[in-house]
Amino acid sequence: MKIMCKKLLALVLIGVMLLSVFAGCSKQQSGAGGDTLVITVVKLGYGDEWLRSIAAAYEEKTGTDVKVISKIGDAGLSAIKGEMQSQVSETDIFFTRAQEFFKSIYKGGVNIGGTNYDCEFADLTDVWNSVASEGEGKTIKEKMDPAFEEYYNVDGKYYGLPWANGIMGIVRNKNVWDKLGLTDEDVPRTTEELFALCDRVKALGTAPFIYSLEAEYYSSVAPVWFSQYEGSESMAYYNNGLDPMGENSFNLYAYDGQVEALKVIDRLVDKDNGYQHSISSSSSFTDMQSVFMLDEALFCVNGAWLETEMGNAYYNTNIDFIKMPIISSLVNRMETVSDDETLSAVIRYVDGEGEAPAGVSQEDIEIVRDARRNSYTRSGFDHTALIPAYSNQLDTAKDFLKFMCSDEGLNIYYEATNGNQLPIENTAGYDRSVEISTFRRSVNEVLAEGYICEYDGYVKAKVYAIGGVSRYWYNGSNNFVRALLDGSTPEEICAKNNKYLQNNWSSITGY
Amino acid sequence: MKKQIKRILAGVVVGAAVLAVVGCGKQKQEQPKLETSVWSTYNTTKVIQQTGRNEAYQKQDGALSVQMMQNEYEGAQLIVTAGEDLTYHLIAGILENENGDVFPAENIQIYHQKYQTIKTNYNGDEAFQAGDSIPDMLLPLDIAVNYGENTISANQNQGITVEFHSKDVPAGVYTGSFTLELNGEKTEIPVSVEVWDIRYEGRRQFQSCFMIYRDELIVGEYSNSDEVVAAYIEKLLEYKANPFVVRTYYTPENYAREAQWIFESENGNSLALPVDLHLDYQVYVDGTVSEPAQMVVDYIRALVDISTEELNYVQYLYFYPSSYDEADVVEGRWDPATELYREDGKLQKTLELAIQQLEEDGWFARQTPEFAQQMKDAILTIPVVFTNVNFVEEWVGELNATFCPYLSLYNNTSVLNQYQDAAMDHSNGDLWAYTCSGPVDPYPTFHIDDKILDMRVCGWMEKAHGITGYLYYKVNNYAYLTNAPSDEYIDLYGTPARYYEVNGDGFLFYPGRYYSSDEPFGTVRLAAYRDGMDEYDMLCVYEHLLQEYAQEQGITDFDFNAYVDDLYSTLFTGVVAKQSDEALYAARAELAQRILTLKNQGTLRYDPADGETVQISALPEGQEAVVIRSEYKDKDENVGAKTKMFRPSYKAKVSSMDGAKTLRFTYENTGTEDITMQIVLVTKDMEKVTVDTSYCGVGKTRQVKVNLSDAEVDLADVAEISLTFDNVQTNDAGQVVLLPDKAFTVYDFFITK
Repeated sequence: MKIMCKKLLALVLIGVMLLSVFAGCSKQQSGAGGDTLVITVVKLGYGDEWLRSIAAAYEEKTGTDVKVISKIGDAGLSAIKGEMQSQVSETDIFFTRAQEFFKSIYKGGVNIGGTNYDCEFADLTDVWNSVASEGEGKTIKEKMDPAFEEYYNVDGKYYGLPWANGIMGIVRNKNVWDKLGLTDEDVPRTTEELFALCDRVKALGTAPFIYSLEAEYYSSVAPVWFSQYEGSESMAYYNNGLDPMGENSFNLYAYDGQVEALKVIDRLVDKDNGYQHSISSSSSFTDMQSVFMLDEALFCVNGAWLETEMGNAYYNTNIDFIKMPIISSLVNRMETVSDDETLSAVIRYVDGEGEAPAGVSQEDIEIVRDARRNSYTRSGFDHTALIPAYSNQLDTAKDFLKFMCSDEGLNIYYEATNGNQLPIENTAGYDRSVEISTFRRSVNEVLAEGYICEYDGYVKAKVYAIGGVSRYWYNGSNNFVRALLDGSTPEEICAKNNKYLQNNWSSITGY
Repeated sequence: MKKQIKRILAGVVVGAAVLAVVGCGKQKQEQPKLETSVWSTYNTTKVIQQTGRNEAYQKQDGALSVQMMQNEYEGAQLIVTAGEDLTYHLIAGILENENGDVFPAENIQIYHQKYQTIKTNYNGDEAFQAGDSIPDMLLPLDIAVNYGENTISANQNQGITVEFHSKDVPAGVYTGSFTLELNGEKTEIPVSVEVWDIRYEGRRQFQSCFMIYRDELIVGEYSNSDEVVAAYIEKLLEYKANPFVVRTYYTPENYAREAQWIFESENGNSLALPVDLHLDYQVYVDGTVSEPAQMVVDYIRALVDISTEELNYVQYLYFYPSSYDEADVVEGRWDPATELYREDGKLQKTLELAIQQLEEDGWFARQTPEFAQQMKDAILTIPVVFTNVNFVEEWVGELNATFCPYLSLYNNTSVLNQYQDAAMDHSNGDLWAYTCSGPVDPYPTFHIDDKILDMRVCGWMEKAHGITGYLYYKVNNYAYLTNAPSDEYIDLYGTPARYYEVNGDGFLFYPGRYYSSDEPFGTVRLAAYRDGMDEYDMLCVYEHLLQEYAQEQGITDFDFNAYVDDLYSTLFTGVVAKQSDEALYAARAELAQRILTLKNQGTLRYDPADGETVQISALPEGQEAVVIRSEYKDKDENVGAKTKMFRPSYKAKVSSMDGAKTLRFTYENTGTEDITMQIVLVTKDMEKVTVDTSYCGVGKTRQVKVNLSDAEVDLADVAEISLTFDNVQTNDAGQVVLLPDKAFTVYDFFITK
């Protein structure tokens, strides 16, 4: 009898287990295998080796299988977007450029497979508030660069984590610089000094700048000069979707700095000035970068990905970043500085060199100091890691992200990218034995200095996130560099943008 | 042993139950048990299948009651909230009026509402949430019964729509009851149908273009035969929507035959010219008429040949060259569109070519002079519909296009004024609108996660604003899911979002084939459009009667809107509907009474002249002539942000506006620049609220009527009206400069109470 009871019990238990497996959950996912963590990453300028390295380390540490799927370039971005929209993906973590990140958050609840979720992305607030690894003593939020913490904070909640942190600005080819006999004194402090330098370089038979019209980055750095001109308070209005008076109106393109920034770009790209390499209007972006790396131009507006993207062929090419010069028309805002020479002297002073020029008010010095804090622009804000709310591996996915943010994960990232750093403090410090290039060192120094214009196209202010207002002069207008080359003036481009917003304001703000 | 086994089994079963409960991270909450109830609500309310928000609906007794014109469809709905699983049926009874007339049984159609469950609310209308099952498809109940779909699960709502068609039905109040069966138990449902003695006579005025894609019919109906296409056309016409069939086998001959067939219905009033002109279109190539140009002429000719003085088909013809669709936002279309539509541009030359070939053929010579001229005018004024997402200032008022922008653009009065003026000056008064994936809430849409009240009120808006046509890009998206492989399966009865992130976009029908029906099934969304068109027609009936009355009374400045503005103000502001189903039905009923009073008694039930009109400003002599000078506000007289943002203004002190419903004034543009102004109310505490905008071209006069019912200010506190103006513009050299002076004459300000 006992044996029979035991057999019966065993059979029933097996049946119960089968029942609970199949009857318990309203949603089952097919795919890679029950406990495999599936990660899909877009492979752009930063590559994907860093992620594979982190995944391998995580596998070893936890025994969890991790499958990394790469999608390449713009086509990869589109594919990931489609996969996210389908809401039936196997992916547990997306590493992508989430250009509609805030829009999706504001959209609110979704119903997937019969289950309601507050958001299509998993709430990662608990991850941000956790200590990534025992002994670190700080939560991920406390380790996070304040600019990124502010960026990702949506009413006290977080739905993503950054997976890149870089800068954009003026990259200098040091070989060319040295060959032209230029010294530190020749680094331009103002845009007028920059144009004077361009004239000198041109006269010496070298292209001052090079870019690719097909994929130009002048539009990405124009906000630096916009921000320099306007100052922090005014830029705070703009970033929050307000007009120059700090009010809610369509006048988002009535800022003086928007015109002034375009005037600088206009002068740089104007063919009559001859400041750009001859291949600029016809070359692909990667070809242009190669030409630059082969010492055929002095400067290139580019980003921290440059070296990674160009691979080993140009490893340790002698390139670095210089500060973007301060926009000379800043004198319009100042009472006691009216010429470029004095402006340059004030800049030297706020850089910690020399004395404050006589007769310059403290107020004007602060205007320049404020402007100097915008010497590069950030790249990487929108490089977001997020977990779809319906993931069956929610806890594991969060754990993986915590690992990525841990000192160990940060070190793996650092090593795999030859010195790139996430905007998260490494409490243990980076492994200094890792050989990093001149360029990478230059980038890290910039990041450490912090003189970065925190500007991105995809921000949480609703007029941008939902209303779709472009922060790069695309409102009712084409790419402004092309428009300038076609003969449009900066005033005309800004006026066109403002008029577009005026005429369509009720539709834009219909949310 | 048996007891022991039982105990073991019992324990294991309990354990299994525990396991099943803890197995999932998320569990649907247990709902409290409901009592089965039968109720009703406005037919313009979508009642979701879930019962959790039933308290939010305006519940009425379980009865069906409609009021309607003759020759109209009007619906009502019953809602069954099931306390248990139910099988139901609703059987129509006999409805009889006081004279013994019976409402024809064949004019009563009962529908089982079928639901679409949305994953996300993309529209933004807060009435709906992710996961809601929203009624959309109207499945005839007899078919639902045949397919066993007349069931209601416990704790769910089930909507039943009943539509009445008053074709050939004498006026009167028809009453009776229908029988509702729930699991065999019968309940009598009182029914009342009041048919007003009002009828729209003749062919409808409001034009439309609803596109049927023949290739996608194969996916939904397993056939795209002429018969299937015809079924879709007929169904659309039933809903007062005019078809444009996108297909490749038109010839002028079969096109003309189809036109005649469509026009057998008085809802048929819009014939699409079935030619698309590519972006490189030329009227002539190497001195010879191009093939597409000749095709356009041939199709026009086909309609000319079947036209008579009684029925001129060309007067109902329109052209929608879809290659120029949304040319303001689609790359590469801007310049070709300008070339196509500009005065003396390619389109105008094409129409002139048609005239020329008819002349050469001697067609005009063979007609009466009056008909010949009528035909020439008709050809030269064929509306050429131009869809734009945004307001493009350099196009509006310059191109010879029938503008068809996003409906939402008309919400800005100054923009609407410009479109209206452009329509009068360049397009024979034709002005269209469209919606698709955009706009979204609060504007009327065909989205599933939007209220249908908005689309119904749209008919009133269109009449008020002089919008004469509407375009919708596809009624049968059966084949394409955005961002999905082309062979991805689409459940045509269960996939609400097919085109990007929009629920319901691109489909207003469901295929009939699955249910062995030879015709497609409509939706509550399409029914709302039809009902809005019914009200548009009712307004036309009233307008016609008032025109006759005005003539008799010698009223010279007859303005139809003045006689219905009070109704409009209860329904919408701009193109945003007010969220009151009750107001809609009240306005409709009141409109009917006004028609009947004028028709039967020859008097006005509502005369705008009777309202209290109060003058709130008395402009001193000379002050009415105004000059607005632009100014520098930045230091050193330059155009900076402050100068750009500054708005010079004209201010008029006013006495109390307490209780005002509308603000009225008139102004005349006596300057050399067009005027666009914002109308701002300023309180004693200097709080400023913009209530409207206005536009007036050079040499023109504009009468402004501002609806104050939604003004976000205490009108009793208003001390001043400020008319504010742009300060700067971009000149031809591309510089932002101060605007030239503006000059206008403004007349006193009035309010109506």
